[in-house]
This record gives sequence, structure tokens and C-alpha cells, in this order.
Amino acid sequence: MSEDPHIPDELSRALKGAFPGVDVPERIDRAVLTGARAHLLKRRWKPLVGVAAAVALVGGIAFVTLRTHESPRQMAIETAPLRVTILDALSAARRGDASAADQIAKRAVTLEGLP
Amino acid sequence: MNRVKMTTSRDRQGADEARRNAPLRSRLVVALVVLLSSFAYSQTTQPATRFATLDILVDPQGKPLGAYQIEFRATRGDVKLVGVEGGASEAYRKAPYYDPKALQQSRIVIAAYSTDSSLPTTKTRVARLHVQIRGAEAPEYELKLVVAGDADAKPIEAKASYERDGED
Repeated sequence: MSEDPHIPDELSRALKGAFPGVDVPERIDRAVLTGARAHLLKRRWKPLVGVAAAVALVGGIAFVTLRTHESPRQMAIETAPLRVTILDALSAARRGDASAADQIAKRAVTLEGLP
Repeated sequence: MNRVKMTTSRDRQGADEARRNAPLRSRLVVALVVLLSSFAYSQTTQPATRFATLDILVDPQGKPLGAYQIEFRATRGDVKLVGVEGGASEAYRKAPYYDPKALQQSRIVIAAYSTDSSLPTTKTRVARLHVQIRGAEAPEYELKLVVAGDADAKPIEAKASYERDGED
């Protein structure tokens, strides 16, 4: 049984067997085991880091794609110039988009940006 | 003889008391005068506040009025907008769109559209503004028709005006 629960028995045995006939001091033995544990941990985390990076990449691409493919209505509202007029609201209302018409009408009467 | 002396002494006492009270009385009179004059001053310097209504009219000159947008401002006088009301015709009965920040200011943009089938084609009251006027200076207003459109949201030639409906 390995001293360290994270180190498999086979590895522990292999490490001990790496120096046959040599009385490896306990300190060095522990240092080797610690190094091996770090190596093992690194090996264990590496795939996870890769998976996280892949997820982030896919998420980023999806976000950008969705942003650029927003509904034409939302795009129209967001990209409309600050000074829209009530005629833009009426156009939206006539298209049947009461919500957009309401938003545009509110923007048309705002005092912000008036000369 | 003694009685005469006593009477004289009492008189003297009364005179002393009156002399002692004289400054107090004069102070009270001064305080009263100051109080009354400050009250009178506040009455004369307080600017008179009154309320008035202004009818906003749009004449689409024969074309159906599908939408309008008007900028209105007070150019003279201490005027503050206190309320916005809808118009007379059914299509514009509801209060128009306006920025709530315009209330308590002297400038406002009002706008409304209608998708009703029956739209006004002649001069019609589209809104009514309520204003608060302070002071004796007669207010002056300026009205600008930003845009007016027909039922298809196409710009039309129209004329906007206002009428002072009355003062409360």
C-alpha cells in the first residue's frame, strides 16, 4: 500500500524498484513521491483544462453568432439613430410590432440630445 | 396731613411702575410693527402663481393625420409644464407620448400616432398642455411641428398652432 493515497501502489513499487539495492533515504523517497504526485495531478487536470478551453471557445463562438443574428426588430431598435421620429413608430405599429412602436415613440420624445 | 402724604407716595409708586414698564411697551410696539411689515412685505414679494391650459392644434390640410410630433417651449415668463392631456378627436384621445422629465420644465416634445381607420383630416386638437405660470410677466410660447405623417407614415404638409384655452 502506498504511503500517499493519491499514488497508486504500482507506481510506489516502481519508484522503490528504480533504485534496486540502494538504500534510498526516506526524505528522498518522499520527495520523489511528491514529485510523482504533482505529475499525476498535472496529468489529471490537463484534460479538464482542455475541455474548459474548448467549452469557452464554443460558447464564445455561439455568443458572437447569436449577437449578429438577432431578430431584425431588436437590431432595428438598437441601431436606430438617437433622433427617431414618431413616423418610425407608426411604421413599426403598422407592421404589427406594437412593442417596437412604443419604444421608438418614447425615444422620439426624449429630451436628451435635443439642441 | 398724613393721609395726603400717603396718597402722594402711592402716586409716586404708580409713576415709577409706569416708567419701568415704558421700555417694555415700546419694545412690544416695535416688534409688532416689524412683524406686520414683514408680513406685508412677504405678501407683496410672493409671486402670484396661476395655472393655464393650452390647446395644441394640428391641421393636416385635408390629409389623414396618422402621426404628429411637436416641440413646445415657453420663451418668456416663469412657466412650468404640469400636465399633458389627450386631444379631441377619437384617434388622439389618449395622452400623447412625452418625456416625463419635461414636467416641471418649460420645454416638451409631444408625439402620437394612430392606426385608427378614421383619422382627422381637418384642424383638430391633438393635445392639451397644463402649465403653471409664476409672476406677473406674460408668458410667450413657441411651437414647432417636427413632423406629421399620414396613415402610411409618409410625411405630410401640416400646420401646428396653439390656443390659450384659459387661466384658472
